[in-house]
Amino acid sequence: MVAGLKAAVAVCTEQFRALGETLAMSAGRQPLPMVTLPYPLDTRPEAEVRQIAIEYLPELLRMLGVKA
Amino acid sequence: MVPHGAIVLRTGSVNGHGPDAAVTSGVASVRCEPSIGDESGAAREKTMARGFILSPVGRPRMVAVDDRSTAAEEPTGVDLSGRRIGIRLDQMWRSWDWIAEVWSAELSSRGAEIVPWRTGSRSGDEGARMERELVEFVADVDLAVVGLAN
Repeated sequence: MVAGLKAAVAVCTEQFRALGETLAMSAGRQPLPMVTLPYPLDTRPEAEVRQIAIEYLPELLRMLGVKA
Repeated sequence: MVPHGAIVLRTGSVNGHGPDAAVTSGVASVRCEPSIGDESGAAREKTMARGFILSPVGRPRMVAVDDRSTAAEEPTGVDLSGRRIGIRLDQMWRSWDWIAEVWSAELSSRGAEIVPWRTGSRSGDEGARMERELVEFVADVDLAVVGLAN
């Protein structure tokens, strides 16, 4: 990591993955670690969304550099 | 067949612009409903000036949505204990709040301190305040999980 910069992980859904890549590239921040969640997300019941969060937790930890 | 009122657009390249430029040339052909008082009842085709639009958006790098292995290096065994992890929330997507809650609990159990920050409007006085808060948020954390997750 470059001194003075903070590590970051972006989170988006599949629908917005390409847009996120484009924005990151435009800002000179590519490759940007990005957790890509299923789409749509906001229309799903809370229990299902929380289950998705559990399923994708290892991916987040990997992005953060943490061994699960 | 061109529906009434539709403008036909063709995509293609324009001399002098490379393939990275998204170029749309307008074909100036418009079919219009008959005018009031036009007893012929026939649709008319009118012409308009032709133009082209250059998109300022760069060509995205093509990556497979499911190809998660390309997004980050292999874990190096980062210890989250004592780390301040910022999580950016917003006011739009409750699903992201639920995701963030689950992840925050797990990260906390690994010793991290969670620093949530919820964004607001990006315009006007609130937008200016958000800009200041963003700077403070970034300065205040060791790393950030920046969600939208809509």
